[in-house]
Amino acid sequence: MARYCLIAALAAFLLLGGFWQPYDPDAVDILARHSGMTAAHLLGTDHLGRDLLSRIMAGGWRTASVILSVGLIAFTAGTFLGTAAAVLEGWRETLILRCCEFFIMVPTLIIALTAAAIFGLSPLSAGLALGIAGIGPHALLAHSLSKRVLSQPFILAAHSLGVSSPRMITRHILPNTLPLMFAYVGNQAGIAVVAYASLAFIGLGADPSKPDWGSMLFEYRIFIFDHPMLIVWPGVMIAVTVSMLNWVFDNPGE
Amino acid sequence: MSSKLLSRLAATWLAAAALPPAGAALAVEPLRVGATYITSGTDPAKGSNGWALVSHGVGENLFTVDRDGKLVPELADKAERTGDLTWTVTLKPGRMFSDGTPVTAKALASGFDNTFAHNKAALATGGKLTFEVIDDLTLKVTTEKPVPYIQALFAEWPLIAYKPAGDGGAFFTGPYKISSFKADASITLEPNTHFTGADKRSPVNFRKFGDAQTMTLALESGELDLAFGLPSEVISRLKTDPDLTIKSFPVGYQYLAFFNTTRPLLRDIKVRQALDLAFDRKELAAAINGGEPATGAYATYFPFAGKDARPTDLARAVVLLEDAGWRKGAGGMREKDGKPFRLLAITYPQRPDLVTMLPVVKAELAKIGVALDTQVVENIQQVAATGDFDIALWAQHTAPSGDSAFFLNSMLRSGASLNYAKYSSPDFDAILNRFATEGDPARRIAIAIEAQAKLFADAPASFLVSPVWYVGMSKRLKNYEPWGSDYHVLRADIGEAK
Repeated sequence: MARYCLIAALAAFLLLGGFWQPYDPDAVDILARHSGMTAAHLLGTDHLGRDLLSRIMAGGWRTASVILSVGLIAFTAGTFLGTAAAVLEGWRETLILRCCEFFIMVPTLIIALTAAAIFGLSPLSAGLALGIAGIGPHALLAHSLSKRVLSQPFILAAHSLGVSSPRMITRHILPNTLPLMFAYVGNQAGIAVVAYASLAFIGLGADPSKPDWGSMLFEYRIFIFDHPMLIVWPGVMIAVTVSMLNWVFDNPGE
Repeated sequence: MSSKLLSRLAATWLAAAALPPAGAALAVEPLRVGATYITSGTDPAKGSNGWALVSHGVGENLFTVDRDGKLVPELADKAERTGDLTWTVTLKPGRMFSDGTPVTAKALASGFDNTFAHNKAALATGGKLTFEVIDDLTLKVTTEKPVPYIQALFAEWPLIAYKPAGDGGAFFTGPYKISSFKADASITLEPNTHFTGADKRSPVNFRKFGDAQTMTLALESGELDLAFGLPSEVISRLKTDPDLTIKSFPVGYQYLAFFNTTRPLLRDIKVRQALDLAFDRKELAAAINGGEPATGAYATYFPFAGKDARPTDLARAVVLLEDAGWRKGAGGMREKDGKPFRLLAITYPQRPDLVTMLPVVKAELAKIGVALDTQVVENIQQVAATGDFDIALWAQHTAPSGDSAFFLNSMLRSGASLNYAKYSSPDFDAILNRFATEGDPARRIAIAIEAQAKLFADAPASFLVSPVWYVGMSKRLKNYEPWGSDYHVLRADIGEAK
């Protein structure tokens, strides 16, 4: 139960950043730069006097957008394709699996970098690229799990009773595969957070003034010795988010 | 022969073998120099290679600006006007190219012909120049347009002096010569033995760093003897390091914002004026920890610089935007006919100060309801030439030859090759035309000030900060004195401590 409370708190924090921050994350106040942690600025300010908590929150919303996009695209399309391949069998199964294997061959980050170079880096473009790149692995896992379920005796019984394929999927296959698929999508979401932070750190096609956690690490790296908290906070947020996603989704039944 | 004698002979022979032969140069540890830029090639006629090769100590000009900002002869001895469009340039005797051949009028003429044929920036002041060899040390120069000071023209950065080589390369006359070059990475220099004092100069490994922070770390870890253009954010820390010497110096560069006058939102002069008034130059100078608010197109120490800092007036800026039809919409940002006022600002990482200024500019424009997308691009000249931007934050030495005309002619005259603002004004061009015939220094100052006033009114560019720059040196180069912005980074008098 505790883990669900924690993930709910994290989700609330990430989503809150979408519509409220203590200060405008882009507002510059040169007189207040490097203020350190104060009551007015809980995490301090950066070299331009921008409120760090506000920037972390704004970056959290952007990261949450990526997680949601990746989860939605990869999970939905991957589960559909993998399950369909398992049920359809024959040449259609082969075709779907070969296409999914193609996605695995090309590294995810390469796909995302290419998309960022062409369309610019935003939560939407990164979420789309990482989500599409995640369809292949999700589909292969869904196919494998579905095949295992299809080999169970109760499926044979269902077939004997004349249960249609759509009903077979919704009543018998998905209820057995989805828990594991959820665990996988949780792990993949953690990887997506790191991938998006990496893309923002590299900065290819990115708007450097947008407060992504990765771009903050890049922008503040120059202060690693003088004001280390500037890179500690975005680093902590990436680590906490990834750890939490992995921890909660790894074994949801516990 | 006794064994004692034999052993002494053997020892003598070994010692002799270990020593270098007479006349051979001692192996010298190269100086390690870092910067965030490097020449893009060794072809002196291409792009800004002429500037970079002079900056690297490889090339020279006929005339140059010395550390006091005075225009002085370099390869030339003198230049005399012989007609409206004709000049006679006399070269200094005894100067040599790095291949050991003498510097002659014929060799230089072939180099200049090549430059004028391939580099449009060279045409900015006098049009296309033609060269006629009178004798070994005398060159007759004919300009396309009248030029009151051909000395200043020959100090302009495209006009590096060289002798074209048969293989497409060139021979130069500077204190160093290129021994190897890796594009976008490093250039290795060795002393030019045909330049005075070669035995006192060490070879140089000049490395380009992708970002100034990496260069800072390299300096701190002892990998560099000279780091040119340190980020201002690290200066206070570096000054506490007893092994390093940190120096700052005012530069002739101006940090400015070009407004792309062909973009739909910026065609309106009122909008450009509003943006100009929205910039808080004191805040921008504070953000980069050094420099002064710009007073105009030139650093304040030039006689043709403006006297007062450019104004910031948000109320007036808002009125101008309202007059132009841009009203505040939901969220406080401006829009017209449902279209949001959103601009794209670009800059480049080779000048870290500009990257620091970018979010400050965004915040300042947000105060008048203008939204800004920002981008940092590696190849700013290429992107700016395509016109795919609204605002380009730019660093430019606006008086590299000690004269005010070159910058205005090359970057703001209608149709000029480097006119990234695409500014086109017959009135402004008419003011610039007067430079061509006016030789009196006081009157040239008046023309420069009038031209700046026109720029302030039309706002194709906004002049933001006159910066100071920082260099860091190891103990080996602690006597290095920076001057001349980045036009003379490596020089014969580099100040190496032996």
